[in-house]
Amino acid sequence: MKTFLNEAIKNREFIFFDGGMGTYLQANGLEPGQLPETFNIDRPEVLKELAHLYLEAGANIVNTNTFGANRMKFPKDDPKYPIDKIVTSAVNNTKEVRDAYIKEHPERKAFVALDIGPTGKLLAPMGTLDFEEAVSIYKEVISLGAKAGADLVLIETMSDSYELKAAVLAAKEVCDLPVIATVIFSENGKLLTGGEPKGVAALLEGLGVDALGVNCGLGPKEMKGIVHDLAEASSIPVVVNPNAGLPRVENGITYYDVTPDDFAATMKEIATENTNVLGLGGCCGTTPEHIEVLVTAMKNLKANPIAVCNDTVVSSGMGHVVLNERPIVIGERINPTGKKKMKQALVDDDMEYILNEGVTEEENGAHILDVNVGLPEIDEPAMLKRAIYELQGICALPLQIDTTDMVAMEGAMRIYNGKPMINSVNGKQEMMDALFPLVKKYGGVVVSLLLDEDGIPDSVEGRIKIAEKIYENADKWGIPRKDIVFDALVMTISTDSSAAKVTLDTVREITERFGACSVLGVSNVSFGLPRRDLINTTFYSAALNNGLTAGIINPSSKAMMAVYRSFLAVKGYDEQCLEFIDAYAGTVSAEMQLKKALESGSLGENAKEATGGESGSFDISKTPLGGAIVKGLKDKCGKLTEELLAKQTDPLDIINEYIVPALDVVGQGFEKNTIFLPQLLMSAEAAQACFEVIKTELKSSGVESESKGKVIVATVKGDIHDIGKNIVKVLLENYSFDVIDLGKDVPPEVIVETALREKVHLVGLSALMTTTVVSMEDTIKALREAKVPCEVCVGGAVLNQEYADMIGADAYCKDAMQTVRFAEEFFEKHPEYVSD
Amino acid sequence: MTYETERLGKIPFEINRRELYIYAGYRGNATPDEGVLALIDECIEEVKTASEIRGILKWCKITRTLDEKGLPRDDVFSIGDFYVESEALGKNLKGCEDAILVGATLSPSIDLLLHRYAKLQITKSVLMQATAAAYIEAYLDEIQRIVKKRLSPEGLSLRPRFSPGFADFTTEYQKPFLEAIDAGRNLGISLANDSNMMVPSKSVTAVMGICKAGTEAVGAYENI
Repeated sequence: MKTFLNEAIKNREFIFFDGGMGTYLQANGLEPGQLPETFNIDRPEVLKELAHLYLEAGANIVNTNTFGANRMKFPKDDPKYPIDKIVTSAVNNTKEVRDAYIKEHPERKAFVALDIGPTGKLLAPMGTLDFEEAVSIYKEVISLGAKAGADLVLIETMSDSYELKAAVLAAKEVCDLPVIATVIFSENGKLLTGGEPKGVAALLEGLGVDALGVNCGLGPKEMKGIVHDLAEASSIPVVVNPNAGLPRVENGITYYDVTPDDFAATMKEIATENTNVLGLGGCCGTTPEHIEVLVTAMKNLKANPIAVCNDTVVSSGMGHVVLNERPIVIGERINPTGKKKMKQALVDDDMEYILNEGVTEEENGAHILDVNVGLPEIDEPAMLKRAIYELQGICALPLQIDTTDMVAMEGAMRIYNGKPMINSVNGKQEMMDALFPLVKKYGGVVVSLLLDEDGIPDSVEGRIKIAEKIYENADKWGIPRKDIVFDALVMTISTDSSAAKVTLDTVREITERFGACSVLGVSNVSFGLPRRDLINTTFYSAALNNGLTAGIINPSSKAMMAVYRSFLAVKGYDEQCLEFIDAYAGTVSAEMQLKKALESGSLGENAKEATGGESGSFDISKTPLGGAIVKGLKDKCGKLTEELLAKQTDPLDIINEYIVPALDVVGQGFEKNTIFLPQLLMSAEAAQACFEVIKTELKSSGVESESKGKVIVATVKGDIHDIGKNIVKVLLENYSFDVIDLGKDVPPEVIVETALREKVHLVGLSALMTTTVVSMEDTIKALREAKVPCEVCVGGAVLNQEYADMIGADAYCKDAMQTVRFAEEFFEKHPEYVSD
Repeated sequence: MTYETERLGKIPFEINRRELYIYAGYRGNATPDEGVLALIDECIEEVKTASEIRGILKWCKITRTLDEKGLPRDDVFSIGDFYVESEALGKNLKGCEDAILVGATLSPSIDLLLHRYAKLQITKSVLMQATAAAYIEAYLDEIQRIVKKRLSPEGLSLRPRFSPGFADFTTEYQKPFLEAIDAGRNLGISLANDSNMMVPSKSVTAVMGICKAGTEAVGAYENI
């Protein structure tokens, strides 16, 4: 098959795929709700007949009936339809027909494609299917199909880039067959999970598929624009398998209206108007007749050549960034180097801090986030994998995986949803030999540092030589040069005043000689100097002017972002200066601000407010801090707490005299229905801000913060709704309980095991659905059976006292405040448990 | 009646703030204070920008199963190919010959936001949930208004929407419902493993009975 594909590319010959299957099976007795793959065993003659019709029509590729074949639908131990039998019989059926046909028509080339569709489950974190589990499901099917003798793997109708990656990886890991992957775009030109053609092409080519394309969802006409975008973004053959138009259902029957002639006519336009389009076939509603007319229409026509797309693209599950279009910003904040708080967050396993940094960078205008979690005292591979996984669950920006630990690098590249940026390789042979195989396997744009075994050359030519060496090595691995971007290396000018000049000249040389993209860690330039902002902005501006693609900077730095946005505007990258206007209209320069403030005397007032001159409408808010908590002013709370501490107030007094009474006002208001959930939570978050400050203070003075008792909270197995549980957690923490949050979809045994190990005597369980109340009951039973000395309180939308009694819970808490009250009573009754 | 499937994309509609407040936990006539209102405005903006709202309408004939006397049963019937045994839905559809199966989703990008705030900002997490829910309900309200307008020249109207999870029309029906509207392909909705929860989470399925004008409220919520 590989030879056939290469010959087709070389001779510019179209490859024809088969068409739809569903309608044919239905016409031959497939009942609604019946799994089509059961026909492989029960009605093989129907499938053989269809394969024969498609071969007669002129198809080169015939698909096996395995679209939905996986162990979730066909368990291994199913007496009638075990997965191995389903897949093996499917391949055998198609192969038998193909072999017979070729025997009669030796001039024809025909191949059996193992058809692979989506699992039907969305991957975590959006859904619940674990990425590696998805890989394993696909591996099972593909290795069965390969063993049975399929000629290629056709992954199709994929609407989620993460699942697509799982399927391609699986195929690559269990067989050497060619892999073709086609995806389903909606009319808006996006995957259902948000990806666009450019990002999809980058991902698939990075993973090393042999051809990519689009199928299903739309008819050939509606697909035209998408095929165009996909073909322009690709450097490999593109396959186009549309439906016979959009579906129309009448009296329960689905119709596709595009006739074979119209279908072929539009396909011909698609094939002749675009480069790279080599594979033509159909999907839902297309018949052997559609394929036959298509094959005839394309007779004697040559395919357009395969054009190479030279864009440097990184992608995420929902988006992509083209590096060579215009300069971009890589956020540098997720990196412990020189950042005390980030270091502490990593040591404390405080993922929230890391995620917050990422979101802030995104909000401030970063396009890609660098992720470096390297600290000697933590398990870097585990932490990096988690950070990448968590970040991609909450942020749509592509990520730059930054580590020197190759185990960590591979783990992160594997689970990354997209084509990542990789930081970094350099000219050292050992380094290239370690990293390039990973890039070959998973794909990625590689930041390449211009240094090697002999260190950092101090001349432009020296650095360019290393760039050439890196290119040559990438060539050897088959990594396209567009995926290599160079870091010209920034050294401080405080020790070598010519350092910046060499770097800037190297950036220019990289741009002009190679047309390549470049990256710089900009702020290194000013290390050891005063007013680093002045040097950094000037250097950044000069580097951009010399062609710098991506500055790795702090997007929260207003000065640096001002340079960036102004540069875009000045150089014509910002059409009609819209982005610049959007960012700066209505703002004034810092000097002007100061001048105005001095004139109006408002500086003094600010100062007054900061020391707490405000009076609120609640009793407790006679004190500024209490008022701020009641009103939920998070930012103010941190500041006011710091001020109180600075005045030598005992941290515990702050808790008891300010925070707790303020929270009580809000809590009682909530219980009396005068304050509602969002306000309660705003106050809770504000109080949290106070606790953060206090905790830091206590830590530095070596005092342990006082706990009122340990509580486990968890959303039970099968339930992925965790908002209620999260609310309970925040409030319990507010009231100084030590909360162990086990997350959502938590199996009973994990709760039992944690309660025993951590000696927890109060367990809070949450469930949102009637169906998962059963899991709640199972969990309570498991706790009782294991004789865990604990009480269980339950809550959630569908629960009530009656249910709670029925499943053997000790208490039903209708909301978060009640849970707090219950916990208070519980630990009052059992003071021996508090310090357990 | 022609029984066909219609796909819908973005249509102009206004979110119902009162409904949003109720979803967020406000009772009676209580309204959020300034701080919460500002957050709600942010949420509405974010949902508007991030969502790729879409829906599908499948117009179906209702076929009622006959009882032993040969009379149509109210509680066992098929809406198109979608087989249902439910007293409550049966009551809602009393007198209707046809019904529309409707599905809609805000797309996974909203889940990304929900996921984000669930981890980082609990207040906004609650408000985002409420906003997204109010947003998709408002979308369905608008669809309902449009369909009603279309039906009115024929003297027809719609019963209130009835979703899996109401009374004895349990969430067990979610799976066959999604299959009936081919929601995986059309809307990208699937069920989370071993459950009846939809992914993307901000998705809705509902039955809208087509009834004679003036009988919109017949059997609607009676005795449920």
